[in-house]
Amino acid sequence: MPLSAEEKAELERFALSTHPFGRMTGVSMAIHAIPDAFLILHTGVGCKYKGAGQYCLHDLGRPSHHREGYTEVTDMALIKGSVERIGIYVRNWHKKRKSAFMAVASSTFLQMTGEDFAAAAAAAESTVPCPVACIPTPGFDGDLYDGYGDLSKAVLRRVPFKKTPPKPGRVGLVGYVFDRYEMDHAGNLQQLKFLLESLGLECGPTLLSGRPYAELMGLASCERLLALPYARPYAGELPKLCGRPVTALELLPVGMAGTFRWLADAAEACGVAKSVVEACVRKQRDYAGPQLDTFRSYAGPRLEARRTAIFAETPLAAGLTSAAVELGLNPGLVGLRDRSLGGKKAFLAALARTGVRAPEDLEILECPSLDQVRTRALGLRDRGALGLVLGSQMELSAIRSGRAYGEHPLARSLTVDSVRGRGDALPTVEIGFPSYDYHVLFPTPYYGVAGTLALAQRIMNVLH
Amino acid sequence: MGSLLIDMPGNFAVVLHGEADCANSFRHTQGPSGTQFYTTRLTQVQFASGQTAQPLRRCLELLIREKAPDAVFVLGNCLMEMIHDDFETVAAEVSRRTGTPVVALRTHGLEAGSQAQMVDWLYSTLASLQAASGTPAGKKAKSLNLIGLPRFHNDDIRLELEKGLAAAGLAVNGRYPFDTALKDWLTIGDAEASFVVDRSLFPKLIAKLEALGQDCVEIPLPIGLGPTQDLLKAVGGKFSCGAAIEKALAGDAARARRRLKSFRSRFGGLRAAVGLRMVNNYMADQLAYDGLGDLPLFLEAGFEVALFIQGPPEEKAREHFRRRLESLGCRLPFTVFPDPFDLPPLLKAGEFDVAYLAGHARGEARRAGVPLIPGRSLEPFYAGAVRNLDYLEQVLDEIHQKRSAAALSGERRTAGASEDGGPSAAVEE
Repeated sequence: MPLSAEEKAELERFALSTHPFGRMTGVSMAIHAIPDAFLILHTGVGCKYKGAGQYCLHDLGRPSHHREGYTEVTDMALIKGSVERIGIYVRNWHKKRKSAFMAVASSTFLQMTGEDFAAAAAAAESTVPCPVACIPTPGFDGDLYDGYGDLSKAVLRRVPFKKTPPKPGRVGLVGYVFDRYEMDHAGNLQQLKFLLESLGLECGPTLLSGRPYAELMGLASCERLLALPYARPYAGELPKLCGRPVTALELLPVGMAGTFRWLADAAEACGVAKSVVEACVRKQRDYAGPQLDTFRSYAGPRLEARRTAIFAETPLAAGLTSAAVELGLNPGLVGLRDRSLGGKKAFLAALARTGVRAPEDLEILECPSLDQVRTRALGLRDRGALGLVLGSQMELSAIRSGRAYGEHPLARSLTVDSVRGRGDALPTVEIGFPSYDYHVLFPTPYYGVAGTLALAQRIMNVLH
Repeated sequence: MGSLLIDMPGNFAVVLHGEADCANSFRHTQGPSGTQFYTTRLTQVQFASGQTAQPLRRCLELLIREKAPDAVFVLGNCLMEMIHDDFETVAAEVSRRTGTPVVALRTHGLEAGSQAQMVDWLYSTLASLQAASGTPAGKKAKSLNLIGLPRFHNDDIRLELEKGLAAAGLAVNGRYPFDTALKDWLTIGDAEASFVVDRSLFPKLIAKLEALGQDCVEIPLPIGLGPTQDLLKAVGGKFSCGAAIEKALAGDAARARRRLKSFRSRFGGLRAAVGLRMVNNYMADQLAYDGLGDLPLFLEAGFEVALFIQGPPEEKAREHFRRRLESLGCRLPFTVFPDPFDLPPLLKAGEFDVAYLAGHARGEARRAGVPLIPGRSLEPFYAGAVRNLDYLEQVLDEIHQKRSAAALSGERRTAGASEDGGPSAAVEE
């Protein structure tokens, strides 16, 4: 008997999601973003694949496995008690790596034993010359951004805000998701610095940004902190954690309108005059305007009425959608790849804040399954209604694989940033985590006006 | 287990029975079947109160009705092991009711089992499906299974193999585990014989195949000229058709021999570091002969080889490795290192010309100034043997050019310093 609509929705909830990453992967990624930190995964054998293994192909800039060790708890250790392993591993790994900061993350089944890992980490901290944080990572709920946030908070708790006088005009950023030491992030961080400096502000450290632990402690000298939307899971805790004024920004500076709105929001938070913002916007619009016109005149005839599908975490999806509208790409399908960043409501609010109007028939999927992404994308393509896909390796890989692997002509011809063929090949641009086939050797941001142009360039390269 | 199944095409489904994050224990994009994976996403309340059967039963029922898979695999995780959840009963009940084979496997990570055990367990389970699905084994004369071969990245490899076998009237029933879908496992019993790279890897699978009346013949990993010849001889010997295979592939063999000779005359006597036990990827070709499967290529190419084994630094572990290598007929010098981080000084000290290590050690090799050939990037059979040597030659040429340039610039710098009576700008840099 075929499934009813409700039953199909129920099955969809069981299916493997485009964002299967849990807290442990987030903690691991955050540790990777601090080059002199070290993570001990207090886990069984299987869980170690949730850590560095998930992004070792994503980051060609720096090996991820150097900053992670595993306690490999077996059934015998589970029965006898596993807590003693923590101190031993902390000391041994500190001796080998001389880390400036260490964290211990514990897996679900060990959390369920009720052993006191926090006390063990605290005891271990007294035996090594660096801070040791205990981050529980139960896998029942929460996602990568929750875990990344938990580690970010552990760092923030150690920033000496009370002992350091704030420097007027110095602004720190919190909630940047730094997932690799490649030049897309270098480009984004340059753009954030440029945007703040164009408002006459000094850009302090960014949490997290691939910079050493000691440098992050420099957040203490910031007069004010701006929280990017990735800090949403812990934004409410920030004022108490930091003891500085904190403004939670609703947007990422992605797309022209998104970047200008971000500038205005940052300026308002920092007391910068509107006239300064207006001058910045005018200058950047004058610079990018003619190039974007060129893009539209190139892309328009090639895409005709076909739509663009966008898969990304909520704040990036909002930025990419507003950029797509500005670029004339006609977004038709959006998949939100997270469970903690606000979902459809936050997406629509962020989009509205940019002032860009999305098409009324825009379909929005919240944390869709790989199967659904594939079914929708191929369905649209078969009806001649899909012209471009922006997404991570998860979605692009799902579209070219699955049940009918090798049978669907598109599945064979799809390539990442596809330049092959003009027939069935579906143009795709790989963006976000994980990106296994897109790597970046020179600064190529997707933040700021420069990021909008770089994105347009990548899209031009795949439209034929 | 998830990694191996996601890599296999076919009309099947996998249900991960446990909490949501357990679906994050493998790379989801590495194969064609990620869209066929499901998870029961148990909540803490369901776990604590033992209400684990209903979500599993519901998930199985829905997906069997919607997708009509040929088989479903239920993988129980650490939490399920911790409470010894009886999910086998649910799997059997749904299987009985729906007529779809539902295989329950306890794949928790609480046992430090070996990769080889896991691989054998899955493949013997897949081989059992032919009987479980009621598909009768229909013996096909002169057909053979090839088990444990590496993945064929280029079509000329497949064509060469098929040409050789076809000349002798033989046909491949299945090439396991790569390039086979679920349907191929459902007919594994049809072949007259199986040829297995490293029989010791697959005790359970071989027992299943022998019970089906198949001869299981040991073959080497066909990387390099010698192992390729040995493999073909084994096949020819079993079916009494060695001469036909040899004749069909004479041109390919001669090309590989010529290439090997020219390579040895240019590069013989160089030093290669070969890494073992560096990867947990559950790939049978990687595991064959404890990772020594590729070694013959380096030896026949004239390299002086030293082994680097990742493992515990204690003396008893070293002694274990020594005995194991000896049992495999290998008496090469070896170094045990606990962590790839430790490799650069070891590689530097050994003055190696090339390192054959896991790809993730590229940073360490770079720091040591030794070019890296990523593990298991070498190709099988005669066509592969030629391409492997081309690849090695290219890598060696590049490093020699770099080293010559560095030596030359060193000489220039020294000369500059003496002429000026002090350090030149280049020296200061």
